[in-house]
Amino acid sequence: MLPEVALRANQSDILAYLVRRVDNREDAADIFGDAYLTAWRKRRQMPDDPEGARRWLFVIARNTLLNHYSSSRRRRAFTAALRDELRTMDADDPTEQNLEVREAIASLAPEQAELVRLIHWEGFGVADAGAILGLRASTARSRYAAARVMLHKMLEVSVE
Amino acid sequence: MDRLDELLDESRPRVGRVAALEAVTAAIGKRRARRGVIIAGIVTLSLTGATAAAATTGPLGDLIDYYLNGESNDHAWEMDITGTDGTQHCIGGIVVMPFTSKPGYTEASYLAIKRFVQNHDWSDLQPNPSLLNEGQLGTAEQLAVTADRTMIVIAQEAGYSVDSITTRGTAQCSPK
Repeated sequence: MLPEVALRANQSDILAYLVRRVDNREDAADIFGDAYLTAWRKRRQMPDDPEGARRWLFVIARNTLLNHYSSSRRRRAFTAALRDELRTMDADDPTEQNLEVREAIASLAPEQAELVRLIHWEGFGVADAGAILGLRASTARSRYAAARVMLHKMLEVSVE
Repeated sequence: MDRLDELLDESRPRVGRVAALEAVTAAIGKRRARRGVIIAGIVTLSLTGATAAAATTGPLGDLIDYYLNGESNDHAWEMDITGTDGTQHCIGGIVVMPFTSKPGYTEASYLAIKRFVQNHDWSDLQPNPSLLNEGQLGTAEQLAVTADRTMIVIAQEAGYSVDSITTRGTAQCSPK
C-alpha cells in the first residue's frame, strides 16, 4: 500500500482517536499535523499491508500524543483551518450511560483503559491494540480480560 | 457480543466528518525535502548549502532526520518555512550540537546558543518572496538560499557575525 494512500485512508480515524483524547479539540489539529509529518518522514518504514500500516500510524499518533503532554506544541500554519473547524464543531453529546461507562474506563489503570478504548472505540483486535501499546499479545489479552472483569463489576447495575 | 461490549462500543465519543482534514493530509503529502541548519559548537555553522542538493540523502540530512524524528529532544527544533501564499512548503531543522574539540568552546557558550534557538519563535520565518513565489517553489538552490539566510539570522541574533560561507555550506563565524 502506498504511504499516501494509507495516510489518506486512516486520516479520519487518526483524527478521531486524537480528538477523543485531548481536552481541547483544536489541539488535536496540531498533534495530527505533527503525527502525519512524522509518518511522512518515516514513510519508508511503513508496513506494506493496510492493517500493518494502520497499526503503525496509530503508534505514531500515540507517541505524538504522549509527547504533547510533556511539551508545548507549536501551532502550524497548515493546520489552522483544521483547528478552526474542530473548535466550532458540534460537541459530542453523550448520554448519561455513555458518561458513566467512560468514567468507568478512565478509572482503570491507564494502560488498561487505553487498551479498552483502542478495542472498543477504534475497533482494533486485542493483539493489535496491545501492539500499539507495546504489549505482547498474551499480555494484552490478560490485561483486557482483567479490565473486563473490573468493568463488569463497576457497571454491574447498567449491565444487568 | 454481551451487554458490556455494547456499552463499551456505545460509549465511543462521536467525531463528525471534518472537511479541513483532507487539505492537511494533502499538504503533508506534497512536502518538500527537509533542509536543515546545524549549529556546530560556537564558532562554526554548517547548513545544507547549494552544493548539497540532495540534502535528505546526504550525511547532514541523515543527521537532521536522526535528531528530528518527531519527538522532542534537547538538541533539535523544527522551523516551518511558509510561503507567501500561506502554505507550508518545507520544514527546516535546527540542530545545536556541542563541539567540544573546537578551540574556544565552552559549555556556557553552547548552552547560550542552544537557549537562544530553543526560545526563539521561528514561526515568522519565511522564504524571501522574490525567491520562493508560488509556482517556483523549493528547488534545492532556492531553499539553500533560504537556509543561508536563516543561518545568518541565527548567528547574528545569537551574537555572532558570519565571516564567510563556503560553497559547501559551512560558515565561519566570530563573536560580535
